[in-house]
Amino acid sequence: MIIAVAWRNIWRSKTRSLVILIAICLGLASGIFYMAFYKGMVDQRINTAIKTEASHIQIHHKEYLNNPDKKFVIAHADSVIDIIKSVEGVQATSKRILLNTMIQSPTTGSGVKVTGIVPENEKQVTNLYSKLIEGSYFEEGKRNPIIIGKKLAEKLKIKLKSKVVITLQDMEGNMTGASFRVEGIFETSNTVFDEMSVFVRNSDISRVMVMNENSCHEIAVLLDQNDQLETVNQALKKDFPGLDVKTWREIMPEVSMIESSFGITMFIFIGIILLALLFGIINTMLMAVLERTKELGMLMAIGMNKFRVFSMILLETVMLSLFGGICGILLGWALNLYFGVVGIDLGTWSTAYKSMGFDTLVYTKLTMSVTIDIAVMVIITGILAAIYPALKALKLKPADAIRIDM
Amino acid sequence: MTMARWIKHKLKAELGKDYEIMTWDEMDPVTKNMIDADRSGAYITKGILYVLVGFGIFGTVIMMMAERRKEMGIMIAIGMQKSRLSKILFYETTLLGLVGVLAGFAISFPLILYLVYHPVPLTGETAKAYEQFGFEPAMYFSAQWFVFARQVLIIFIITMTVYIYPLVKTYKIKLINALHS
Repeated sequence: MIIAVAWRNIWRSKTRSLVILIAICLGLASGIFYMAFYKGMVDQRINTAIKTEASHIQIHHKEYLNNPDKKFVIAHADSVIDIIKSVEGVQATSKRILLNTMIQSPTTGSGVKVTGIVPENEKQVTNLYSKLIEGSYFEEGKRNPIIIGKKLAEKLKIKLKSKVVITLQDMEGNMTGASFRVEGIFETSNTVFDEMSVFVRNSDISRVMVMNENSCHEIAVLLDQNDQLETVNQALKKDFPGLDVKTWREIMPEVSMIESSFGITMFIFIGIILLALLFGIINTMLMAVLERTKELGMLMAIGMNKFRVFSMILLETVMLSLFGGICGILLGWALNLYFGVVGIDLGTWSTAYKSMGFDTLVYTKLTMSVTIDIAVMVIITGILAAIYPALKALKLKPADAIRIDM
Repeated sequence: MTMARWIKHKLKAELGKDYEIMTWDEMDPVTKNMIDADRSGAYITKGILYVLVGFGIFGTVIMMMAERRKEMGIMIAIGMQKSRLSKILFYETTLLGLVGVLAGFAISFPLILYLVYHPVPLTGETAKAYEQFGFEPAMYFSAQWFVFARQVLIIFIITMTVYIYPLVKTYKIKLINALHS
């Protein structure tokens, strides 16, 4: 009964209600859309970080991350891998030999991180093979193949099938080098990664380095799901007390930070929008109460109790806010769904975002739980906005209110 | 920025034959692009807020017109020209916006001034990540005059847009109806 009355009251002054409704709708729609945009961007960054760069968990020698020296190897890598594979939740592993060194083309040189991989294992852990824009991914038979990033290829002015020389120290400390032929060129969304990383076959690099085939510097572990990160991390830590087990959050703190700060930032943003709307709603409802002084007085005089008057005003405000809020959420979702398929091209700003590792085509993304959070925030805003006008209404004295000359 | 361009131009005229002269943003386009990208994000945020503020003012002005219909009717009836009436309303809307902006300054200025001299230091993971991107691990604030001047200008534009409503309304006012409302 009260609800029906309250709903009808909203539409008594159409222009006024529509103005505040449009304001709420636009405000929330833009807020939600902005949120979806960033959520999409952050998710894509995390996805790249896990799928292409860091994997879920990395295992090193205790000293390696502090001092990336080639002598800090994981010995008996194969038996370690066997144990890792027996842990529940582990999808795939890949052992890698890492080396920071110089790469030279006929024209110029550059410092790079050489990663020696076992192609068939690496393929299960990282999706680098799908990022190739030219050439192929370690096809059998060719001697000393190397895969480099597009950015590095541009820097070294080399093409597919060009020869590059990697200079390095072998395990005894002798300077040596080997020439590799470019077999593939990849391009990820992270230009720094593209410039700094090259990939060779594990067997090739260990031969050049005179290194034991069964040792490696890093074992990357891919899990079935990101949710299992902590449990698997703990299990592996217990299995290998002598090794350094780290999750991608520890290995790439900057990506982890983007994820953790994202939620807070977005809720502050939505909070500011709602704060601005709050005053608009208060203004509208205050008017609604003031222009109905006589009517409210009459209602009280014929026996409507204070609680009902209060709840009527409260309901009116909450319904007004929620109606606008739902319109806004629907509009925001519609935009989100559309741009989730089409994607937003960052255009002019792509250089900046690529250098920080973000994709330049952003697919918006929203979750149901965030939407519900926002809806709850809208309801709270409505209740807050209702308090002052409703108290104003309660203070009316029926005897005076009826006689007031409007 | 413009200063750098201007000096570059002058230097180029004198030394351009023998040397290549570049400003910092030409040498480091990525950083320049990052700054621009960050700014464009802030523009969107501010744009959304301005739209909301605009609707807030619009709602107030609608109310103002509605509750003063009778008053305006009487004013016109006793001989006030509609142009003068709309002029009053013009001042009212402008003052409304201006007072709001000044109140906003009064609240934010002391805070900003404090933060300019006491940047918020960042700690832990956030600080590490900032350093990784080549930023100092602190949040700095600026209290340059154009930060404030821009708000005045934008709010002025918003109020001018909103003013269209009372302007049209006053000229369309029907004396008889207004007096009887």
